[in-house]
Amino acid sequence: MTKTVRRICQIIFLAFFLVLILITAYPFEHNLATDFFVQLSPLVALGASIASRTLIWEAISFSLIIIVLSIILGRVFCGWICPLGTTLDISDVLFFQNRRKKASNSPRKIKYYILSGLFMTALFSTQAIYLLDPMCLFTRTVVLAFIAPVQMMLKWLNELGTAWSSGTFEPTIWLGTKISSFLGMRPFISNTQVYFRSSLIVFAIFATIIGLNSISRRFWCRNLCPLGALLGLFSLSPILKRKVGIKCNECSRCTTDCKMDAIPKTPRLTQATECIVCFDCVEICPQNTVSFGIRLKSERHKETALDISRRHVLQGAGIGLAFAALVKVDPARKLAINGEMPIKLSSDTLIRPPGSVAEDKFIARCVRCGMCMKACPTNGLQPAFHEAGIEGFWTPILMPRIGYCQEDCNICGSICPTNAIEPFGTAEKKHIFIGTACIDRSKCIAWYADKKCLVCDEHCSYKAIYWKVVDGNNRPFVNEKKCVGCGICEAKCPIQPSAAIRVFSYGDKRHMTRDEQKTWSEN
Amino acid sequence: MENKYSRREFLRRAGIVGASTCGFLLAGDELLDILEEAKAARQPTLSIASKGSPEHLVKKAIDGLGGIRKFVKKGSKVLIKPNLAWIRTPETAANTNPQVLAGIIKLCKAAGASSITVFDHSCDNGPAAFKASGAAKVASDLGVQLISGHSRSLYKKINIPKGKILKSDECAKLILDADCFINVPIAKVHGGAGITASLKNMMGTNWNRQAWHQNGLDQCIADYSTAVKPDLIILDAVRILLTRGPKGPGETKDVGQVIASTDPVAIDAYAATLLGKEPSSIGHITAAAAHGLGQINLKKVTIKKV
Repeated sequence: MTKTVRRICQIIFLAFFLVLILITAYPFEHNLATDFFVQLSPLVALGASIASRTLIWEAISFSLIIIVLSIILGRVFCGWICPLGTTLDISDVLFFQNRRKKASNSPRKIKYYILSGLFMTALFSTQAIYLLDPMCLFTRTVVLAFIAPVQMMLKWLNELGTAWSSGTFEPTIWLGTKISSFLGMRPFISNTQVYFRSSLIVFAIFATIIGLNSISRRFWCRNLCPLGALLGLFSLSPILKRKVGIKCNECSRCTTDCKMDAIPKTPRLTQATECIVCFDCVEICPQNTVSFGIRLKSERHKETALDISRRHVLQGAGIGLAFAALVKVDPARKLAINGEMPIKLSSDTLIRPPGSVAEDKFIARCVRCGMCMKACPTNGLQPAFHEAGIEGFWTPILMPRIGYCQEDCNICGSICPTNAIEPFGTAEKKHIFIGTACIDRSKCIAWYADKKCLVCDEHCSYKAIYWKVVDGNNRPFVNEKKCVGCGICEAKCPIQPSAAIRVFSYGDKRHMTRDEQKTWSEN
Repeated sequence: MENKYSRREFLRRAGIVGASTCGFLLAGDELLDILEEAKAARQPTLSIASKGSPEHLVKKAIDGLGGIRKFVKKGSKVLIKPNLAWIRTPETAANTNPQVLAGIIKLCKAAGASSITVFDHSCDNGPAAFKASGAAKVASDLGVQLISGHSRSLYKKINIPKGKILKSDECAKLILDADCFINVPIAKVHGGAGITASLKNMMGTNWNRQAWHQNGLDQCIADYSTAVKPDLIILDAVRILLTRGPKGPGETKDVGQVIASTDPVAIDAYAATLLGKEPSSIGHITAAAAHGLGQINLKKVTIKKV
């Protein structure tokens, strides 16, 4: 009974999680906190806050719910809420049921060592939480590795459908309108195909996590998940405890069946830091003697205390320190703090979304959840590969050739869970400088081939392109004072494959405060 | 009695009558066409309506051409192609006035059109442009379909036999399938093309616009118009954009006119004068006139002011 309730609860949270990601789409009129799940993770809140030396209250306040919940009820988040945990449970039923091995001694302490390493990197202001925090990891997987390929498949279906009916019936439009009218929102599956870089890598990581289930159930949650470790620390002695009655004949069904390996040695004991309160042991007990109840003190506390090795924790921290040091000797770094102004120049195509904080803080705050990339209406926000150095892997960059920064859109700022992209207004965009356009006269057909073009001028929303008659023809120029680097000119330039007008990151004003940016643009 | 005609005279007259009868029988269709053209010549080429609300102007302008029923027959499929290229509000005069659009839709409905579809391949994000321009509201209020052309599957390849540069292109299927295709441009200046009105608005019905710029914009616009022709053109000059076209925001002017025509060249030439330009200085208008698509010389155009 309780197990059924738990399962329903899990499904609801997973669905809620997916819906929140899907409705993070342009135009963002509902103003729902779609970054809710990422903000629920205390690991994200603490890690990003420590790494960037800023208290990110938005994220902290949400994650407090989970911390309080863990102190009272134990790791219920893992058992009842976590969408990745639910996915692992589902995949277990689907793929691994008959191949399940007997519960083995799990190397479950690893996750604490990982956690200590992650905190160490954060202390040295490097963001590594993104790699392993389940909320970031799973959000990113859905955004980068599921939405785009699912859409691609829908597109194939659509083409099949059109070829078959040879009419104007559009299954994707049809499906999108149906779902959106159901939700009362605009189609989140747009008919325009989206593309993301490194989708395959993201998928491979996710597939590995699923595949580890073949070793033991919830292998990831048991042994690797750093968020699980953190929540375990909060639930050293929760108020809600597992009770085993006197009828227990030590048949050990619960020990073998526990998906978290939280019932060690004898069925009468429970490792509170590992128990995810799934109620499986309550259901399965042949004697019906297992229950969960409120108890303030546990006489068995000592036997089940967290037995992590101090040496390994230090080793984990050492690896974290090495990680932090190694990514900070990336050559991109040296250029970044060259001179007095902390201007990043790791790559001239490193164009950050508007509202992004200064580069160092940005890298420390961004948890690479991918929500901004999901929300970007033009698909221009892409995970960085090498542009921001190793440290900035998967952080969002604007690639104007794929999509530009749309004038009336401010979603990326509104939904960033850690405020790496600070919220901004659409009117404010006139003085948020993210780069500068530059015309390559040897490629521009209005310059070298005397053709009538000026598509860049036609599309520019900020009046930053002007033209003058040179040698009897209209030729485009860029007014660098007005160009904010939105990239619409590069996106629409008819020259193939790379545009004759390109946006580079020079001229961005991220090292200035918002007020300074405004004053700069008005002068 | 003396013969009224001499034999020679009789043969001559009989020959004329016979030949003309045969000629009429053989070339009757063409003669009828000539008669029709002569009749059409008395019809105005441009019907310019001024003074009144935009919806009223639309009705007056079309009535000046002989009424909507001349173009929209009962049960015909109507496709309306306004200029909804940009995410801009109606005040900026970057998109077709929503009230002009509403006026046309209402007239088509009154004429008994079986289906009315509004289509545009916007430069900006389609749905967002539709919303900002006010067209989305008009369409939902009047219950007509509004389709954004951002999917290649909506297009079909066409041949352009008369094209000088463009030999083929991809045109929206909806336009090719429609019984009546109404082009509803707005008059604006245009950085690249000089002005944008009817001929340039046709660019929003094809798939690959970038190729036109690369291959010679003016000629491509004219070439395309030889193959895809609107049945009726309603030019929105209620408020026109004088600078920073086509996207704006720029200087606007309230002209308060709506112009109806079937001649894309004449209507564009008139739009050019409204925008303070010489029609012959606009490359795509002269190229279209050279294709024989219409009359560029406004002095030779019958203008009816209503």
